[in-house]
Amino acid sequence: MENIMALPCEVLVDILSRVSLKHIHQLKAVSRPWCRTISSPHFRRLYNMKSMHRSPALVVQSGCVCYIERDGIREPRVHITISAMDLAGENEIQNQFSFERVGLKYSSFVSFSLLIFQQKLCIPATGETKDLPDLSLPSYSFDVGYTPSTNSYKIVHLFGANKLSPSYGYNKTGEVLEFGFETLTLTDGGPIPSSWRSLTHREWFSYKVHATCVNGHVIYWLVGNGDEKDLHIISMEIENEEFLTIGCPKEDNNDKPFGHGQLVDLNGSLCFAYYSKELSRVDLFLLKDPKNQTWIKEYKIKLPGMPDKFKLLGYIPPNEDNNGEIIINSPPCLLYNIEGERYRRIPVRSLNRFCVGLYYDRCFSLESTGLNLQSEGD
Amino acid sequence: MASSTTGEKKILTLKGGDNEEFILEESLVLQSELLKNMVKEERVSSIPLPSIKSKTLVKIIEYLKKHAELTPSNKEEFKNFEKEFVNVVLEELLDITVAVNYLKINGLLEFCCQAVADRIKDKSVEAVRKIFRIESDFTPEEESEFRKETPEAFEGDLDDTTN
Repeated sequence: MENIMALPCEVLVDILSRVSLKHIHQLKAVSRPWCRTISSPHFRRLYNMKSMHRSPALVVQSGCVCYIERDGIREPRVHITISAMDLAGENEIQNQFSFERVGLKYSSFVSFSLLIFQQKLCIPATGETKDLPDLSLPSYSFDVGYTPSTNSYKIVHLFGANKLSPSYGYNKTGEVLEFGFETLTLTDGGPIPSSWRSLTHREWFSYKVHATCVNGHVIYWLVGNGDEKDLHIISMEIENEEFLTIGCPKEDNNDKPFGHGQLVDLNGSLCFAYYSKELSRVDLFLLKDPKNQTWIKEYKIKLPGMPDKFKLLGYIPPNEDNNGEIIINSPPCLLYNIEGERYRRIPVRSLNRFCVGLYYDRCFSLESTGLNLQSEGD
Repeated sequence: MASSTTGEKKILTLKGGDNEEFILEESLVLQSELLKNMVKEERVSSIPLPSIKSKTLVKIIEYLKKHAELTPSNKEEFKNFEKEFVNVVLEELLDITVAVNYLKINGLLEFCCQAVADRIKDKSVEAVRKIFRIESDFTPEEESEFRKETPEAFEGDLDDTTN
């Protein structure tokens, strides 16, 4: 009857932007106007912008390799299951995506919205797999930034610029190597550009400790030169591709920089986390001003009995039940409440998992969406 | 509904769709961007709102009163009120949402949209069609393609009761 006719488009958009991505995809089948609304770039951008402020889901990826006999040849196949847990609600685990690929199990997450897999790019949310253009070799690592206003990703590929050096794979002498960067911009609706865009910028270091992308728009690499104590951070702005070198925060009593640590996006700021085993404590330094290299020690987390290998995954913005929590995967997975100085465990099925991270629901596809309905009207 | 005149408080009359009149303090309607502009620019004392049912208007005025009384100490009480406020049949909730959008009461609009979204959570395509009273306008071929592509969309929660 007149109900939905009277529902103005902007209200429908507002309502639908609060529905889960999986459900949104299904609701395209309701009617042509709904399909058009959901498929429109305007809706998709709005949906993704809201997603930045929503609580992210925690994703657990599990993969298993099986072999299938085909024409007498045993063909390896990897079955990847990605389960997501709603961290804002009742910590319910939902099987999000599941797909099978021919080939070995090697994969690299560039973020939990994109997966790079033997020169292929996979969007878990839509199950799409596409070939990547040829890479500069030797390939070193991938990172990704995201721009909500254009709903586009930029993959940054770090590669060895000196093809003659054998040390990129395993740099046991701590030799300082030359690295180059190339980027690939992915826009919603595709297609993937036919080649990587090479940057003239070069960096020199021995190895990468850790990398993170803050707020979608700056990538930080924590890298080392030879000796374990000699670390610094390289940053790259996603939009203008400007690079900056940033020193690590220094210890309290002497001027020595910390020897080891990790980087994490803490509510839109770069955080350097330093774990002191003697003190059973993680100190969190926030980068207040990248140009002047000002670090401020903002929080101390006391976590007795923390295993040596733990990873800070990120931050959950305040919601009805919580006033901001840090997610730590040690395992088990812990949520640390900063104000309350307490933590709680989150139940993560230990199902052959090899990856845990944060996932944001985003409307993004490498192909145009909908039943080719865009052509009519509008 | 009608409140008595006290001091120099300005009084305003809102006229609902069925010509029912609601008399209330002008300060209350300032929460609505639309009415605020009308009152400020034209200095009217009576505003006709023919597109809004009286039943809907009663609910919205109830909200405006509660919201005006909101202080840090009764925050909890207000939250409970909000929860009760949207606890109506979906048809009524949609009427309220549309009216709130028209009146531009921004905080309440957010809350209503979230309430509608919560109501259609995980509902199948058929159920959503029934709730919003939409007839599918796809061709049988397109319809079957959808069913093939996302069968789970048609198997989900078929329950279209929304009370």
